[in-house]
Amino acid sequence: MVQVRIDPQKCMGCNLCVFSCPELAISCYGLARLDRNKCNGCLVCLRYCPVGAIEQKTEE
Amino acid sequence: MTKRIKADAVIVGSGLGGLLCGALLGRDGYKVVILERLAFVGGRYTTLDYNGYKINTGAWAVGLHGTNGPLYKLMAELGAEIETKVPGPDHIHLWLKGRDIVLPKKGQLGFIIDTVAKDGRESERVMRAVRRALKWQAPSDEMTIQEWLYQYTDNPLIHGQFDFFSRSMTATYYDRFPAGEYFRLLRGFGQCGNMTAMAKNGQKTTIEALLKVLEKHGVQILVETQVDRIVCPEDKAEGVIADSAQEGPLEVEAGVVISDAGPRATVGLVGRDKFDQGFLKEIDQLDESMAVVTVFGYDKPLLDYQSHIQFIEPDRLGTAWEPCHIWPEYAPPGKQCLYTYSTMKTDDTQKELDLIVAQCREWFPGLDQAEIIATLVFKGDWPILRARPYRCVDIKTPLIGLYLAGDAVNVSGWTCGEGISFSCRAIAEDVRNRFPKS
Repeated sequence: MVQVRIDPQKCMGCNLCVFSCPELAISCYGLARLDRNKCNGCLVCLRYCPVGAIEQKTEE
Repeated sequence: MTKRIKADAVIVGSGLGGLLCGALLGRDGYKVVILERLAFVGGRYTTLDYNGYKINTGAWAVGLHGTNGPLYKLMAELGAEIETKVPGPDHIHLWLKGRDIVLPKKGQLGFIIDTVAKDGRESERVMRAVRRALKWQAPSDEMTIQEWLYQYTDNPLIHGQFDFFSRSMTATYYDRFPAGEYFRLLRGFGQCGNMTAMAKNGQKTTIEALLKVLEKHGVQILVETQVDRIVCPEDKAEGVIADSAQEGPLEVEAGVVISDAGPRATVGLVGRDKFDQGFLKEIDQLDESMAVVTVFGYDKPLLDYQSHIQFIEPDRLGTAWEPCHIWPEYAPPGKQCLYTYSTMKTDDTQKELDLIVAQCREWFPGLDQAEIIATLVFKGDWPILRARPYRCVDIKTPLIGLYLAGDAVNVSGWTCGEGISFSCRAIAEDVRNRFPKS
């Protein structure tokens, strides 16, 4: 299943990924955190992150 | 297969600077293409919907001077119509511990100093120096505004007011803000007035108005288009190589490249070896400013007016406003929200957020039960300003045809969207003088 990974070194805490997520699977208080149970793998958040902190990863 | 587009100008980034340049050049008959890396246009100058709340991605008002400001005037000149309201009825309140003071529409600084000074002599001493700095000669930038002010007073509330202005304009604490530039910014307020205008659906209203102008002039915008390289084989720009979600691999050939991606990213897209050491030193020394916008959501309004509230006592919380009084659209039905703007004293985001939220709750006890809707942190590659107004870069780079737009190229005395409007005008004029349209 497609999932995303948020790089804590790059994330600035801007919240844009939070606003982008149709499943409300991301929360952010200084650092974005993903609720894997809610993430549907749509990857919209990648296209909203201004600092390239979110990347796609494929899990078995 | 790579798609090739020929244009007069290609713009990298669709922040306010990119869109204004596109609109100006499009209006003048240039063939312009704008490429945006993200899935939305507007950068830190738009609004996203979240759970029924309107969340501005950065700027929260149409310029600092509203309808009197240079940005609004440029938008009007371009035919971009924006529905705005000025917060009111009193526009700005100053909150001191236990006091809620309505500020006058004009002469705010003098009024505040009169209000917080120990006596009339202190007030007159400070205001006499302020008038001299504004009307005769601004002090040297070789001292900070804090050092300048200590010559006249050590009153912490007067110092708080000077720090507030510096922080609210540029997210810079006054102990590092050059005294001369401080007064040049203050002059802008004298010229235009401090009457911020709020757009109906947030900053997105501004961007949508600009998009209509761009469409009218045939300017093409491609979102989700990552520019991989700005092509400069010798000493001049020749276009960009990009990868677009919509178009696939893309080459845009253009003699004018305007980068709204920020100076650091621009240097990366061109390659450091193309620039001289002096220019690189300027870019490397740019000092992005940090701040936090928090949005709280709750059921009943905390205030019975929508005015901006300014704080001069807290060391982080700077301003707050409850937008639903004039634009109920900012929160879902039955809900209210409070926006607050605060500056960060350190780079430790978690610690800063805790302190900022605590200050917000201290000054608004009603927030105890409120939900934190968002905490937008601006720093690093997503800052409040990519450069402080006293250390901006020029619109032109050493490479012919490569321009920089956006909030790193503000002109002295102006900041945020107002400053961007000046640099975009300057870019468009320079392009007109040097590059013929096809």
